[in-house]
Amino acid sequence: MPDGSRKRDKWLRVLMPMAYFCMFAAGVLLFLSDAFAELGPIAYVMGGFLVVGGAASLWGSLTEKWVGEFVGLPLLASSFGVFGVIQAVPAFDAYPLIALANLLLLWSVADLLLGRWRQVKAVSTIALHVSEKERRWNR
Amino acid sequence: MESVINTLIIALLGTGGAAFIWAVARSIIAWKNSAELREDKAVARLEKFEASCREDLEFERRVSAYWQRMAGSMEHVLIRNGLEVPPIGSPPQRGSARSV
Repeated sequence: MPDGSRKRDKWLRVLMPMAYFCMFAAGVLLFLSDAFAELGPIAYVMGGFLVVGGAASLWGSLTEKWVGEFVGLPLLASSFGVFGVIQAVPAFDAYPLIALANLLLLWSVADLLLGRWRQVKAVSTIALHVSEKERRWNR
Repeated sequence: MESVINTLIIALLGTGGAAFIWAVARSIIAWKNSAELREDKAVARLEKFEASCREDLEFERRVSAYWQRMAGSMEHVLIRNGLEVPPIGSPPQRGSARSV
């Protein structure tokens, strides 16, 4: 019988916040870098996405609330996609295969983040569906 | 080439931003509807709701069975006293939602 005490895997409770903290910290470090300003406004938007998305996802994974990852993961996935392009473009002339490999690696991480987002979205659908049904039931 | 890359970057950022705004709106709706925000409890609440639905269904079955027995005993009384039993029609067909 359900008792509401289902616990997530204890390693997941460490690994996920660590990953999100690294993404958040990467965003902060990018803002602190002098070279970052030379990349223009797009880089600032991308850095902002990393910081906001990383912070939201970190909060969500620490408190085990789906809202955090649900809000943060699209920003993180998008910034990984953009970061892949920004990294690959200048290196493409000198090392085309390595640049392409870097691009694919970063895009694959973006893809994994989107995969996790789909899982969280399913939980959000369940939560909304149940609250809606309960509301109708108790009317 | 540069314009293609810029378009790609803007498309990626735009998609992420749009998804973020949509997710924020949906989260606000969830919060206003008092939806469960904890991942484990959301599933537990679904299970609890499903269990209460099953309980209601079981209760309805018991009520239905009670009235069927009651109708059967009334028919029996009618037949024993030589009265005509009203027609009950043919049994429902499998795959058809229509009751006869």
